[in-house]
Amino acid sequence: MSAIVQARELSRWYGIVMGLNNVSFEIAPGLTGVVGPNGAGKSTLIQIITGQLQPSSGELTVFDEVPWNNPWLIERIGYCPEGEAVPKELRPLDWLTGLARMSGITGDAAARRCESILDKVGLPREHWFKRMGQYSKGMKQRVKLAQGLLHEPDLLVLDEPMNGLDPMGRQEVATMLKELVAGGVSIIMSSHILAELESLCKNILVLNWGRVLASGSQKEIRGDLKNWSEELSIQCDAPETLARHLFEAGVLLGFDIDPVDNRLEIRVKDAEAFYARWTELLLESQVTVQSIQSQSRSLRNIFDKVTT
Amino acid sequence: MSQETPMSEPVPSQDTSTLRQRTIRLDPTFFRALSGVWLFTWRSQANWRRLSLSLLGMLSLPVLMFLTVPSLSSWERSHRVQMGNPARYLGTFAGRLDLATLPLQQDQHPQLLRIVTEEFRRIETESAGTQGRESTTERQRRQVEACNERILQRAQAVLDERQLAQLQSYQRKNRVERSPTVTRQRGWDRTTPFYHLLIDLYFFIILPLNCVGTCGALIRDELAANTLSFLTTRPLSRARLMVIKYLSQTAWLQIVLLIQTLFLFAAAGLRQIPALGELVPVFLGAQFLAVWAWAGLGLFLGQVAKNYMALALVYGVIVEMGIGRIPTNINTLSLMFHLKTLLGHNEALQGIYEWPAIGVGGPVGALVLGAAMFATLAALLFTFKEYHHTTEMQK
Repeated sequence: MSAIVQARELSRWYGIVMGLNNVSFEIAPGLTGVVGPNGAGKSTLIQIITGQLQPSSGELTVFDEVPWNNPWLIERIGYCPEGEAVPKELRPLDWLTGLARMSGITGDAAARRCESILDKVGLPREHWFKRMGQYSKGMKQRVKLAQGLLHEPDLLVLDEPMNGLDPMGRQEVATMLKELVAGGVSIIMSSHILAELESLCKNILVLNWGRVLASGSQKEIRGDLKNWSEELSIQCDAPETLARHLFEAGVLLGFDIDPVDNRLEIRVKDAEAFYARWTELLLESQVTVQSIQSQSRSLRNIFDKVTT
Repeated sequence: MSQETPMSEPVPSQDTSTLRQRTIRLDPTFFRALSGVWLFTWRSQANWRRLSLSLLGMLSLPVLMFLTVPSLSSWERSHRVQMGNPARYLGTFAGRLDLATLPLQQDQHPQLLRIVTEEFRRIETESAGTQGRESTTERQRRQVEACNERILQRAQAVLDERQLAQLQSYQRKNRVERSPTVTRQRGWDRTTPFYHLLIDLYFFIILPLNCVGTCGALIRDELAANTLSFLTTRPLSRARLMVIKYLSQTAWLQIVLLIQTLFLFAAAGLRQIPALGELVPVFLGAQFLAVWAWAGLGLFLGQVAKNYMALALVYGVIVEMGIGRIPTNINTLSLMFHLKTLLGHNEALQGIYEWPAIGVGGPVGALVLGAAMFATLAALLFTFKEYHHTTEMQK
């Protein structure tokens, strides 16, 4: 499948402040997460993708077209910005109907589409006739999401879409995003809730200081990190015994023991070699293991590693 | 042990780089987008708090007008020609004749008193009857002179030549002493405050500031509320979006200002301002054009600078109050000049301001052209300008 977004030597400055610094990457169809700390360049990237900003140098194309001042391309893109900003004096149906008409949805179809989309994002009907100034953060987030979906875009760009949603709301939105992707929609979403991105996104783009630190599928990024030390947390009945055995086998870089929880934290030098010998080493130690968890393979860990 | 993070990535059903088949039909047109923006424009204003505030604002000037323009009856009371007591008038004149050793004879006194009493009553009655036709101080002065003339003529049959000369001299002195206000307040009558409030305050100060302020903030307000991206990520060119915003906001301004004008004319009607029927169409026509032109200027200035109101004041001083008053063709650069030319077609305004009423097509064309030019410039600037909420807010 060809990439939907391609960036070549893309830079964007705000005066002397660097937003994006000579980045090149490709985003494949499907659901892609954009990760980075504040000031990493996530919002700048998203605004360039949605045609609100133009690059200072380099090029970015979406569906092989430049987004800036390109209404024909924008018709294929839906955008849900960050924050709680919605017109406070308007009711959601009025706002969405107006936006639907601006998007070119005709007559009565606009009203019907707005109702169905509000149902889809899970905004209860009793709130449809309230002014949005009275809405909670989560309700505003749902309406914002609805306006991005109004015109059935091919690419949906979401800036921190889970902010303000309760856990159940997050689950609902996550399910909806999965359905959209299954229906052929590509989604680019930024979020600081890494666990959600990890469970939702196959592809990740890690940004920091305006640079792309890693991009690709989570598996590919982990592959790139294979030479990095692996951290494991093991809960067992005899952590000291297991630590001594692994140390004598020469696979450990270091370890910590938490005697209260019977937990052993280990750092291994060569993850692949360690996993190849792990079963054998465990049998030899005769220790009973209750649980084992990789600390290095979570998105949080990847993120920490590439951003530090 | 599984080292893989749980993945629930759904597989896209098709290649998303190609156009998917939509279940809804998109046909983005100018007028459809206009109807959408118009919906935002009026719906966001249509709440009780905003409407009551607007109504309060709209009523303040008509109330001021009602309070400052005197009613016809009070004006009559305070401005009726009052010639005074005929006996006292005659007493003073008799004293003057005594000093000149030309005393009135016994039969002369009652005859002269009858003449003066009749003529005084006549002028007071006449003056009360002419109030309905908007008496002016000039007209009152003429009435007093006519009264004196008639007294002098009728007195010829009663007084001798020297006494008559004394009467003439007495009348001349009496006229100057009795009516100093007549000469000092020429041209200011009951209706003048109405015209000054309507034209000088409302039409040339409140209306331009309102239009420039509202349309200058069109994009700035969206940016401040961080809602601009909802509009710029629609399938519309930026220039088109700007023009649509301008049209819908100006249409709303036309409605609001039309209501305000109706309130103003209602207050004028209650104060029985004459010839309103002739003024209303000229004024509404000029206001219609003025709103488009000032709103266009506001839109443009809003794109040029964040402090667009300060820029508007600079523009007002340089172009409208400076260049617009230079008595050469350069004054046609001023919007106010064209508006004055249009308003000058009304007789009452012409009488007060003495504006040139040179044709209609020229000023109308100039105002339409001005509005179109400002809106086009604003649309061009908006097309090439980027807006970044955080950056803009930090400026």
